[in-house]
Amino acid sequence: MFLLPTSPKAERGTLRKNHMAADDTLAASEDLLFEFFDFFDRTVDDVYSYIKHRTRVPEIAEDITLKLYFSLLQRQRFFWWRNATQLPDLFSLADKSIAGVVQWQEAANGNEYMKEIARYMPGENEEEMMERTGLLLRALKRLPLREQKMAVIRFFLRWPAAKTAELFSMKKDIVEKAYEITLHHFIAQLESESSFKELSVENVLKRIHCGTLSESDKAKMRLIILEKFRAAQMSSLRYVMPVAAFLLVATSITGGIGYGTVNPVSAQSGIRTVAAAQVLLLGEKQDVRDTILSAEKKSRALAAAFVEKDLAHISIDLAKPAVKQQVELEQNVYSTIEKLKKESLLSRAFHKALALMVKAE
Amino acid sequence: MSMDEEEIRKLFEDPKPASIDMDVIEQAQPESIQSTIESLSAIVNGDRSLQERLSKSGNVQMTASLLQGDNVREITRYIRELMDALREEAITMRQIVLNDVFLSPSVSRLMRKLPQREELIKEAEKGNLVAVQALLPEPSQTLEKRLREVGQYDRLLRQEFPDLFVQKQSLIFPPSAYADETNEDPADAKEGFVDSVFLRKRMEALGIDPRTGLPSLEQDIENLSSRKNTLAGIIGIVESDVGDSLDEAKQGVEEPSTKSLINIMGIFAYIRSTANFDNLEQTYNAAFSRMNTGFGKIQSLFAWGEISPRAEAAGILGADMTAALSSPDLEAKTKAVHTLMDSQEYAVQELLQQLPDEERETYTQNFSRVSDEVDLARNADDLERVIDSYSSALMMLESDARSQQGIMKRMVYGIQDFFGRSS
Repeated sequence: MFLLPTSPKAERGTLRKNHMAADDTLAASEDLLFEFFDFFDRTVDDVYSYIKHRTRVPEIAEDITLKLYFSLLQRQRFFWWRNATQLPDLFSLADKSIAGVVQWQEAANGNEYMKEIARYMPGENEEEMMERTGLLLRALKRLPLREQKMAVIRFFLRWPAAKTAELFSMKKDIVEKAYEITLHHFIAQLESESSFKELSVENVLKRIHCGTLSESDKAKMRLIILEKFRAAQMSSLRYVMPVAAFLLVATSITGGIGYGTVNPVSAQSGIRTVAAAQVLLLGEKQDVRDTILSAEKKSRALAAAFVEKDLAHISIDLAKPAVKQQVELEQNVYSTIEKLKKESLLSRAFHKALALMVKAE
Repeated sequence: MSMDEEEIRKLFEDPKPASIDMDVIEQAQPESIQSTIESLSAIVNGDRSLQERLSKSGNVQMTASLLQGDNVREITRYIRELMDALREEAITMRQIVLNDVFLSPSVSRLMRKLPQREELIKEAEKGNLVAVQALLPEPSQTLEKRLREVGQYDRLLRQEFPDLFVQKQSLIFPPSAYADETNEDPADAKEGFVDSVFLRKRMEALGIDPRTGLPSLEQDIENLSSRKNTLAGIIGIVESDVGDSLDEAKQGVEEPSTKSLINIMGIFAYIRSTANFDNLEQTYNAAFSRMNTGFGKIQSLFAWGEISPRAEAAGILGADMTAALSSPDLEAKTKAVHTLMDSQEYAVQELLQQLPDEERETYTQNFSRVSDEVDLARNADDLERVIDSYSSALMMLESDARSQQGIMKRMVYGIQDFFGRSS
């Protein structure tokens, strides 16, 4: 058993050797694992924080995070040709798991999460800070789902608009607008609360600086994923291997016995010898065939290479009719439009004159 | 009514797209609008590149209401979009004429002796296409011929350099216009002109020196000339006809051009497409496959480097037999085939013992006839046919002999064949 490094990329060379020595089963999947854990290290803080602030239960967040990454690893193992998963994909997978977290689970956790957030709230005493936290979290829950997600990203994960825009392939100004709307909705809900009366909601939200996973927590997660991955690999082999082994042994024994005891009724030697003679007899023709194929290929390549010079001649020859066609096209379109304009002008003048005459009468 | 070049140029110099007010349409008589829309439609239909530009932009559709002239807003929009497309095309066309043709090194070289060259470039710089048209030399070939050539070269380059066409950025058409593979020649002069410029520029970018490959092709033709007889045998024509074709190819290489090389390519493509050529390939592949046991085939997958079929055949037959069968001497070949058949006589007799009397008799007669045909062979082709018959007879005999055995035994025979055990 071994602990994966915190930055696999940095120490890839030496660690590869250790891995090989430590566990041969995993050696074949090394590249997959290194790529995966590289991605894990880059993203786990954001993913875990996102799930934690959405579920408000750190234990559940940890479980969902582990399941999410494990399923991602399995997916990469079996569907390696697919595009690599990106952070927004993980968030949307997380959303599905979060939707399954029921209210009682949040309640069963007590107020541990609230206490964590309360630390960043302004207030004279713990009671005041907890009250503000409660109001804030309730306001967050009341936001539409899309805005809840946006609020978590902005105020708890503290992503700048540019980062959100880049990761979610959105325009920066759209993200900024979404941020503004979310804040506005927060303010609308909290400004009427007495404990927020003298406070700027925006400034209060800005005070929240939740910590991320510790290095030892991440190492623990890596290990769990790795163990699970190895167990999954073994479990698939567990079913396939005995069947394969049985088939191999059975066919080898029966085939071997038959091979040794049954007198052959065979013309194989003759068929092979005659075929060899045919190969030799056709040898010369085969040489000619190869030469013809090669000559055809070469002449096509050479013809293509000679095209450049010919095309220069063609460009000159086609220039005159092409220019003529373009000039005529431009003239025809503009003349038609001008003609319409003139006819319209005449028609307008005629109608005006007619109107004046009617008026005069 | 026509406009002079100066007026057109002024229209294109205007940074805003030439436009038409809705008032014009509102005030015009329905007949005028209808005739305008019909004229514009005819103009667009007569110019492939403008048509493509409009249809690919996805904005302009000729609808019934447009033709009836009863939707002022739609008609105004149609005309405005048409003017925009025309303006874009006019600018692109002027750029191609100046930068990609007149200032291009390969065309400049050909035009260096043209007396009005300087003036031509000056007018092209100004975008004065009327003057450019007047100063351009008369084409040396007809338009139809040139368009055919462009289509032909386009197909050739698509085949030879498919990568060039993956990112084919249009010079005048929107890029997606080239997405559809087409075997058609360009529709009009402008399309042919733009295609020819595109192809030439891609080839210039590749920078291939065509002369470096010529000696190798020359060598191939030389090799074929020394084996006219064999080649004639493959195609099934007389030797003199093969000679004529090869002489034509040789001449083409001596005076290389795209046309001569396409001609050479055509000669070889014709030979390759003949039925006999196809048969040869099939017979050879089948013989090669039979030469290997199942296990041998698997082994060859792990072999380092390519295994020569002839080396393998030589390994099976031994040096003397190989030399005889490979020699051009028909008598030596015939003798070798007899020896080969004699060497299989014991196995044949053993298999015949497995058969009922009647079938045995039939097979005995067949083998005897095949043996007689060896002596009657007048050339290598006849010998090839005889040995092919012998091989077929042998396989059928084995199959019939095995069919007399039980199913379990037949399965074991399969394993024995796979590992190459034989009597």
